[in-house]
Amino acid sequence: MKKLTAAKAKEAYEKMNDIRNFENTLHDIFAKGEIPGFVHLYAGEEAVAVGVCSHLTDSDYITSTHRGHGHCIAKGCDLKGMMAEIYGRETGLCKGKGGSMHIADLDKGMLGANGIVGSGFPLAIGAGLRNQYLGTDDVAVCFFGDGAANEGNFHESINMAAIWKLPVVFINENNTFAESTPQHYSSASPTIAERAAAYNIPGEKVDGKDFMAVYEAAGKAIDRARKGEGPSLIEYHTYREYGHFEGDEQTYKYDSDEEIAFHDRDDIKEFRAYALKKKLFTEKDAEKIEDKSVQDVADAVEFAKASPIPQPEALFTDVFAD
Amino acid sequence: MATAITMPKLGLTMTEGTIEEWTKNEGDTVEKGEVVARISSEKLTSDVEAPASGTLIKILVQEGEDLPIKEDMGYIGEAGEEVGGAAAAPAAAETPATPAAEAAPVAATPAPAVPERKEGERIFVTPLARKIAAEKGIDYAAVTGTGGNGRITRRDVEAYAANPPAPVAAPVAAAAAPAAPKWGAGLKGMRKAVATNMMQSLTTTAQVTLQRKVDLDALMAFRSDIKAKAGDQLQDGQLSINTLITRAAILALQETPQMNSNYGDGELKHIDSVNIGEAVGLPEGLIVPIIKDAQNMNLTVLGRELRHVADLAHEGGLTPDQMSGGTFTITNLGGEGIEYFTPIINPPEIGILGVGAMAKELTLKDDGQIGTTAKLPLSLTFDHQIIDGQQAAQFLGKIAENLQNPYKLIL
Amino acid sequence: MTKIAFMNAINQALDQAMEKDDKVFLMGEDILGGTDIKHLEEKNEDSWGGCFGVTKGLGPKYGKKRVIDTPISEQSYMGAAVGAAVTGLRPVPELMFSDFIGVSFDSLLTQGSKMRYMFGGKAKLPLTVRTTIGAGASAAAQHSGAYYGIFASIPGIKVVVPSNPYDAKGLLLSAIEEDNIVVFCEDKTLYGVKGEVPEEYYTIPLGKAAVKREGKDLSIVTIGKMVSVAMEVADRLEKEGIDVEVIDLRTVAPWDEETVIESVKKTGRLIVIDEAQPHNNTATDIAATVTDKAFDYLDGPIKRVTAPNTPVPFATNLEQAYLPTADRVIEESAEIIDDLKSSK
Repeated sequence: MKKLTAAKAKEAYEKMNDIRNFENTLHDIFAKGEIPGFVHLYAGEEAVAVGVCSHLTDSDYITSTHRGHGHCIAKGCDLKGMMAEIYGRETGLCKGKGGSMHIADLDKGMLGANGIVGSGFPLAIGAGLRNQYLGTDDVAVCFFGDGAANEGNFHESINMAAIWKLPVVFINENNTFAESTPQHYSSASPTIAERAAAYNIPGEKVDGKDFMAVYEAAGKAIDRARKGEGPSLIEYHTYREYGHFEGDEQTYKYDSDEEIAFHDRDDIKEFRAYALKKKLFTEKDAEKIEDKSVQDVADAVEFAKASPIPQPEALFTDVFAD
Repeated sequence: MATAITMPKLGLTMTEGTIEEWTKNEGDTVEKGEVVARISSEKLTSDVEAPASGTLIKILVQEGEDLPIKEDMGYIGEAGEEVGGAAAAPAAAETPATPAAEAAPVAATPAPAVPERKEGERIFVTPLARKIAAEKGIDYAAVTGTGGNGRITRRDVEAYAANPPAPVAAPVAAAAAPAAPKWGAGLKGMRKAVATNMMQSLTTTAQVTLQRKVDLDALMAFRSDIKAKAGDQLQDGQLSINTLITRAAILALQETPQMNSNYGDGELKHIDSVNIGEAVGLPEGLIVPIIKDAQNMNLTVLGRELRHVADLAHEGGLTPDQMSGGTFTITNLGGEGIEYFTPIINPPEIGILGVGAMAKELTLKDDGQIGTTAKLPLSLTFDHQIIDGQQAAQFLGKIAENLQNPYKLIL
Repeated sequence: MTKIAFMNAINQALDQAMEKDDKVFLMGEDILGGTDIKHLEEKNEDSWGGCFGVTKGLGPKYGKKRVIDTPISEQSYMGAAVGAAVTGLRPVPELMFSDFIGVSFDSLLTQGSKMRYMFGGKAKLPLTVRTTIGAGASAAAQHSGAYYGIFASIPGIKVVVPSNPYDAKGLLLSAIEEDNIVVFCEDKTLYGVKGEVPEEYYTIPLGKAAVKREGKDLSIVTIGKMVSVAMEVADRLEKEGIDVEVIDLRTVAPWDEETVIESVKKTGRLIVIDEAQPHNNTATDIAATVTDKAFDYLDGPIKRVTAPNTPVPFATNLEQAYLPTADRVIEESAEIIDDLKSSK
């Protein structure tokens, strides 16, 4: 596994800031009624997406979830294209035809946010099968929530990946709630990670607020997959800053002191302190990154708002390949 | 949304009208109530007013063409607005005759195989059969359906077209819809209306004409006597021969109520009021203004009315109501020197009195002396479906009696 | 030309497609059947070659890398096929019975069929799902459905239902060449039907119906094994002097509107025979479209002859009554057939 270099750390810090600013901005914009549809924000979970994707290149695939903005940014998707997509504009990554729940960018190996819980599993199996079939050392990473862990696809897909030793890594983002339902209620096993034992693959539960812990665990699993040793399952314990969707009153939150203490942790601040201490970047670098990120997101909003809506003919195109 | 200008129905019996003139052109702005066209129908012409304000965006029926009542003759809407579907206008333009008019030749020559349908019964016809019928100008109502549910199919229409039924004279069954026979083809306006009425009359009634002379000496003496006594007060034609004959007929009708009837559409109606029609010859054709409730009029009122409606007829100012609802007609060819003739009933009336030229004849008087007597030839045509010969003769006799006892006329 | 069975025509098509393009691979339950069974692997043999033996021999020829036995996991292997297609392979998964669509539907319904559209035209889905359909094999309610209409109602999916061995091969090769999802429905009762099939690689365009016989009095449009029913109807009516045109739709989505409407314009009468249950099915779609687009050419009501609105029964006599037959077509369409007879 590659050690976290200074350059990589800077890049990771940029992306974590981009995700946080992007989502905070959307939170405000949504409240103002400027964007249509459902929006599920990733803020608070930045360490997971960025810690995992720091090991990936454009030729590696990821599958995503309802809460896909963070995965997109971590995988290198363009902020302007993303924001325009969420605004439903012609310049969006999907020409305004996908929206927040379906942002995808195949050029970046991003197989789409997904409106169906648990449907990313088999897509990752397919991408992993492709990598294995073509003999590449690319991997497919399947991000899924604690809710998706209780879908049938979880079982079928992990079992298949295991029997075929596919280069797939299953990343569980256990953000404590499946919509409004707590994980300790909906899962018979105390952890998601321990279910790996049933499939004879490595399973590990890791602190998802700790960037370095995320980075190291993911690195091990991805290396193993690239080497053809098969899939792994990692459960990252994390917490979402906002509701399941924008407008969620979140009355189900803050049930215990432990939960509140966990909620109060800020993965970005923790990583900043760590990087400064390890001299991966300086205070000045950090401030520059922070300022630039705010500006980049503001530019993305401006770009989206100035972009045209799709032409009416777009309704009829892109159903079939010619 | 465009507003349709429709062919108005002027009077009870009107079924179609002719566009005499469009006073506005397509594209002209019109105000609601403004005259946009003149139509003629039955026996009168009338202005058609714009039903809405806007632009006359479409003229569907051209000048000189006929159109059934209530059908659209044009549209008022916003400039540039499309109306009636793209196909509607060209179709109307290509085939100026309306579907009803197209139906004419078929309906006028119904085949022995005419489908047996009750009036108003729904006709089932496939879309294709309907389309082919329209293309061939066939009224599918005349076609017998052999498809499922008695439906008229393509084959039925094609079979009909390949072997059109032979023309049959006097085809009109009692139950046939009055609209079915269609006469006056090729004629326009009033001429067409006259033709239609006359043909309908001859083909739907059993006409018999009785003729007799009436001795008018007493009447003429009565008239001279009154004139001498009343003199200048007689300004309203109350003592014209025509008024007196009309009065004599009115009294006879009151005494013979079965003659004061309408018969048509399978229904015989005895009518209480005597609505007397007086035929007036105009250059364009014959016209029959009606004087309603004539039984209540004394000679003065009657004379005035007769003159008034004749004047209106010549001016073209009769209202539709003044041209319908008659119960008996009087037609007078005496001015032309005609003695006897066979007037044609004006349906749905069942009788018409033809008045000939009065003439003096040599007669052997009661005292054995030879003298002259004023004689008036009368011709009564009646519908033998309703009235028998003897009754009719008695009715004519009553008219004669009234004329020969003129004091009855002022009672 | 040699006559081969329908199932062998499919096997031949798969073989030739795999030979032509090494990104083509098969996946499904028991399609090889010998994976990890030592005594078979030693001899490079398969066992089942699919539960009907349609893929028999392909495993030994192409290996278990390209003929992949999946666990009984329809939901995930169908999704994996979508994932592999969108990332550049050309998978040909087999869904043993179209009835199993219930457990695997999400991958086609919300994922694969919508990806190209959701992603703004950037995705290609070169994916052919082979599946079996049809009653008549005493397979009862859960293994006999004719669910092509369900797939056909989804934008982004093409649906093919071949009626004979020649079409089966040419249509399947076209489907595999497509950069779109095609659901290829094989009537299991036709598997043994033999017909002339050229050995060389050939394709038949999707979306194009075949006029099986021309006629001027009456059009019958039909699908899959109902084509033989339509041909029997045509033969019988010919004896009555009625000239029937029979159209084999071949592709249910998109179905060939042009050919059907041209035929109706010629004949004015239409019967649609569809083995599916009567509501919201292909026959209904065709009837509605023809009424809409060719109303003025209709010389009688459009008759749909379908299965009844019931599941497929097991007992042989009931199953026979379930399937449309020539007798039923003639009886149920009497209203538009009888007047053709009477007017002769």
